Amino acid sequence: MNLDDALKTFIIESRELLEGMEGALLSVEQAPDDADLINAIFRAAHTIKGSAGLFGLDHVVRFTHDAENVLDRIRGGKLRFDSELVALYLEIRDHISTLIDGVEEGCAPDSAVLARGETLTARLKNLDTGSTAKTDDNTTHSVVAGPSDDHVERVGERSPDSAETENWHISLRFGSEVLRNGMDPASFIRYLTTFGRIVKIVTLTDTRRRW
Amino acid sequence: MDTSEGAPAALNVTGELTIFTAATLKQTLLDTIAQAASEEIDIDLSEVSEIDTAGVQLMIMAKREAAILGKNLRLVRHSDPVLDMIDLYDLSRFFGDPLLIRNSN
Repeated sequence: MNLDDALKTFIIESRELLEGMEGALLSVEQAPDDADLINAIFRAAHTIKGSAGLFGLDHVVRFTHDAENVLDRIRGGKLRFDSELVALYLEIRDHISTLIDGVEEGCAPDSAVLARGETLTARLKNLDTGSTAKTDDNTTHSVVAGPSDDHVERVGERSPDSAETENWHISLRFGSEVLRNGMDPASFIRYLTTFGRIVKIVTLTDTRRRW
Repeated sequence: MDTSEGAPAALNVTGELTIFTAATLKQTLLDTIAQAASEEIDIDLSEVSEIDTAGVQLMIMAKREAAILGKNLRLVRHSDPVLDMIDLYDLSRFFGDPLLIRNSN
């Protein structure tokens, strides 16, 4: 599989994820606390962002990053889906879809597309301040101490006996077909370095059987 | 390949050391290790233009395979892409071969 094939796979997978995201968004309005639905929506944004990063599609990463942050807060119970938020996320979904179409056509987003992305991002940010201002009405979707914009999901658990540091401990195990499927773990690690500095890395070389 | 008695056996890897060349290179490496008359084998990496994780796996395999057969396989004259990859995975200690220190520029 060459890079073009990998990119095609990314486009196909993104469309599938976006389709699932739309279905989940349409259902979540009736069931705003359904963790499966919320996770499906989050996972779609999260996966598209991660894969886009591997292809250096920075504009997709940037836009999806903001959308994912708010979803993470919904997932954490700090914000709740209501009809307004569902409507916003349907528009966000459509916009990601437009960005993916652009990737397929191999053209950079034009000014109209960029402006649309900025409007949506601004609405997401307003949501933060808007909800915070409403904290006195005691509604369930008021914001409790929103996390900072930069956020990395913790994959591995910090072991209870380890020293407390500000560092993330991330444990990665890739499938045996990962390279054949067009993805190099090294790209993944390089991508991680765009979020921070790798303090220490340990490569396990002894887990494979003899060739 | 130099197989004269006493001198280390040698193999030059040129161009890509990636998933696209891995299958061919794997066999070449295994053959070189198995057929080496000497117990010393040098793999020259100075002409490697590109390397990915499959290439790293091949280097690990070569080291292991040689050790199993009681031979000493050295990776020598690493090109910059190879050094970058060994850095990224922090595998210099695993490979145990001396690395030339590069100019920081």
